[in-house]
Amino acid sequence: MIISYNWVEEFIDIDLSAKQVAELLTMSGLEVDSVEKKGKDHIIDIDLTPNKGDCLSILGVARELSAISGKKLKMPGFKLPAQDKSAPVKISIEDRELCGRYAGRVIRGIKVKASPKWMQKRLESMGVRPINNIVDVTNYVMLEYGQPLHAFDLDKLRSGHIRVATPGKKISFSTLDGVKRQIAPDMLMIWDGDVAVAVAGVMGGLESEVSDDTTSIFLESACFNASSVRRTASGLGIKTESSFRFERGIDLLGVDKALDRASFLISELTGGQLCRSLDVFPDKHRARNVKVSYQRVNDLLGLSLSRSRIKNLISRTGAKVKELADSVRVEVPSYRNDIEGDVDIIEEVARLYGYHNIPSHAPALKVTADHDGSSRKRINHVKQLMCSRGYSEVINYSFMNPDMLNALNISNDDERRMTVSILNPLRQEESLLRSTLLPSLIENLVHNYSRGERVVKIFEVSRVFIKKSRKSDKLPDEGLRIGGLLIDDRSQQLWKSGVDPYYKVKGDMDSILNLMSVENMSWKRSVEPFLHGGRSADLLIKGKKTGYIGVLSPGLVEGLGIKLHGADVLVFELDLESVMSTSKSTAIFEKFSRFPFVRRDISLLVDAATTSQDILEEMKGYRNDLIQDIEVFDRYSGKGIPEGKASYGLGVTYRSFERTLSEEEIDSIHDGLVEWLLERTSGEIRA
Amino acid sequence: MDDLQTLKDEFLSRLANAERSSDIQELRTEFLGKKGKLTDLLRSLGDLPAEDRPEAGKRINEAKNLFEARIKEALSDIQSREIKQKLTSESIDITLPGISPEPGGRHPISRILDEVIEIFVSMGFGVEEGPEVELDFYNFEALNIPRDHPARDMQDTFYINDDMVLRTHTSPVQVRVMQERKPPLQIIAPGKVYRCDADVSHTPMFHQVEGLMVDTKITFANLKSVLESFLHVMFGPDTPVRFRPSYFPFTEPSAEVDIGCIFCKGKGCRVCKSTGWLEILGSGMVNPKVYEMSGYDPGKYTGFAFGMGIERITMLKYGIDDIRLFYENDLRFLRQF
Ligand SMILES: [Zn+2]
Repeated sequence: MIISYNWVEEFIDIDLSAKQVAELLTMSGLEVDSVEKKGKDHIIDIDLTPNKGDCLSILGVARELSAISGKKLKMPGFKLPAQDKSAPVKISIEDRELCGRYAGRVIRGIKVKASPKWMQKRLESMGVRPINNIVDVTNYVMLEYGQPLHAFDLDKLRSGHIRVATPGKKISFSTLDGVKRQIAPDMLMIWDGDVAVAVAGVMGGLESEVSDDTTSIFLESACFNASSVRRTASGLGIKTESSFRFERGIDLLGVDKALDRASFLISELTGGQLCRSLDVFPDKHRARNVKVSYQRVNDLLGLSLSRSRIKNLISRTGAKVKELADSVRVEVPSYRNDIEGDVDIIEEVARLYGYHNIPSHAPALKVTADHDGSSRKRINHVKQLMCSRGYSEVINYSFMNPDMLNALNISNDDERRMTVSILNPLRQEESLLRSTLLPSLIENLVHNYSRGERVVKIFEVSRVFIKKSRKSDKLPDEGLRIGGLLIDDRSQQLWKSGVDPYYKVKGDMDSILNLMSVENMSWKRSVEPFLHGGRSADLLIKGKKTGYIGVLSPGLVEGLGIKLHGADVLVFELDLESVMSTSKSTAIFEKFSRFPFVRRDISLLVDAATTSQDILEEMKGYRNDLIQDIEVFDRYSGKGIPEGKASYGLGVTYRSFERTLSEEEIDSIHDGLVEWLLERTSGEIRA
Repeated sequence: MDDLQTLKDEFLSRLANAERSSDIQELRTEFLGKKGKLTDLLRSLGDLPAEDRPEAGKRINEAKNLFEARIKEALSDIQSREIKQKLTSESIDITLPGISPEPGGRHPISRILDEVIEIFVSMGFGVEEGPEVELDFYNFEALNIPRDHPARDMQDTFYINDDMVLRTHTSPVQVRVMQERKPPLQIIAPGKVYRCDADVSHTPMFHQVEGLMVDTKITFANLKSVLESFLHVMFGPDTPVRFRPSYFPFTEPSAEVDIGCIFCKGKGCRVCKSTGWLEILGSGMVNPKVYEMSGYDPGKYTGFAFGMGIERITMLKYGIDDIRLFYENDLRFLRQF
């Protein structure tokens, strides 16, 4: 909200510059964004919080300054001219819940024209466009008092009966901005008999608008229910100066004062004749009383203020304060709709005392258990590991383009199709929550590759969202994933390795799994539709699919719109929660043998389809306590090996916990192992 | 015995000319081998008169020892020379870069998030998490933000359906924790949050750390102390900190916390909009209505809550001037951290 400082100064003698006032306001809770000099005036832009409805006016800000500074507030002085005893209209409030007070007055014999320069200037300084003397006065008084007003052309109100009621059924209605709107049955309207003439507190109607030919008006000043106005305004998609103020609560006891002020100004500017005012106020205002104990003020703020000091600070807000034994009873002013409980009063005390005057005092330290601290630390270890292996961490939006699931060929019965969609996305491409990290990583690849990066090595740790239930109040699953992508498309490299990059990524995966001490895991050929069938794998932990790694299928890469120079795009994704839940979080020491170990190698020729994992599984089946470890140190196929076969080099380490093993002993076990292996793999020993 | 002297001279001169270790091995065979020249001389001792034999034998043995010692010396010289030659010929460019992965690193947001968490953990706060897709109840209602309240304007919300939203702050985690546990509570809730807003200074997703401390005698003075301590660790012990009244539906009294501008040291610059202050934290004493919603006795417990945006802190710490850079994930940006 912007305010004219000159205008504020009319109502309070405060001997400070606009800048100093801005500082004062900021430090008492009315944050000033800027102060701008405009001619002889200063325009102060206040970022008003939604609770400060009482400050949405020049008088409101002046009243606030008076509370902070202790200087007296001066109300506008004016004297209403003589009024006609007649009241040509009748008012009835039919929905008291939604309208607490409705006042109005007929003014006759007016001449609609431009308002005087001084008024136009004031309105313009507050960002309001001058229209004519009638509309300008309603705006002027709204800015001054914070009370929204509306003027109807009296000649357009034919029945003479103003009703405040909801339509009870859907109707259509043209507002004064020329838009025909659909009014819901529960939206509060102002009626002229059976004809709707305004959306209460939001906007007047086109038909009854004041025009250049208007000679008589009905001036409305009312108090409508805050939530009702808000519902109506947001339902119609309009936000007006009027609805904005009603939503934040106006002064129920200020309704008649604003009506008089506007009536006075209209009669001054137009020479119009005032009729007697009408004021329908069914349930008289009952001031809210809040009891505040002195002890609680000091306990909550960490102060030791005297009773009189507390009482004095509260009084400065304009509230009436009555002393009780250990507390005060505060009668909340009618314009302070934000004050409900004792803490609201305590805030006023703190505010006026000055937050900067409250000391800092360290609380007693209570060491509480770091609840998920261990998993957080382990995730950090994984991130650190990836970074040291050359990956840059990325963070993407949690959104996903619905087209990406099709581009990845993800089948309809795949869990990743059970997506969560956003009702009001910023863009269609961001309308789903990610069910996999892969689409974002591919976007990161395209972004960086098309900007000339030839090596892209990235990873992300984030949640994905899977809707497991159709119920509208059942939250989706949020699983933690680590995903990564690697491409090295340099045509020239200083050091050449010649290794299939699949094994580099596999090595990265292995180190994560190793770091997490994952047990009961295995790899099998991946069934992911977006991966290269021959160079990809799914990770199983306890038989359950927990992730994938592999080369992105060449067809998919072609569709990305970047021209690669022959390199593969490697990707992986792991369900980090499953990995962590199956892993040991702390190492348990295992005894090792003090006696020397002996290693024997096997050169095994098997079908090329047999994997090292198959072979190791078989070897593990040969149980012997003296076997410590088995490793694959070579795999070879091609020249010298029969077509369709592969040769594996396997190293077996033997040791005993009790003694040094003899050659004969080892020979006999090893022969047994080889025999067992040959039988189970249909292999042969390669000479 | 002149023969011996001749032999000696010949041996020493030839040894001096030997260039390779193989030359020396040959010399050894020629002079000291089974059929070597010195061995022959030893054998010819029998031809001498008996009284001369011991003297001659002694001299020949001395010569033999000398030859062997010299051969050993020469061999070791040549070998060390040969090793040196071999090493020289194998010399490489020791300045070429080593074989190592491309440099990787943490995302700046992730770094600062960790830093913030670590500071609070060191102050005894526990770390809690909650769902990012949250019920309207936890995100708004339980935090004293009813449906038709203008406070909802403060946060543009992504809706999943009528009851479900993308959380607009991590405060719902605090409500969930309060429903589960009794005080004393001392927790922070870090995580991603969402607002339906995208422009130069807003991204639709960002990160927050919110905190909560509840016990029987927690005061506003405690709030000031904890947040000042945090800011002094985060931005340096001499950073000025100020508290000013503000409004959050779930706290009362509420305070906005500013630090003295770290760029202009309070003199006023573009970043601080010439105020000399930077808004850094929202905070306040927990509103009793929130206690009621969470099943705490509002007469018995007091406490404070606070919240901060990690993007803003990261931008200030690293001097980043465009929030959108965080989510472009451009490697030229990411490699700097
Ligand atoms: Zn600055």
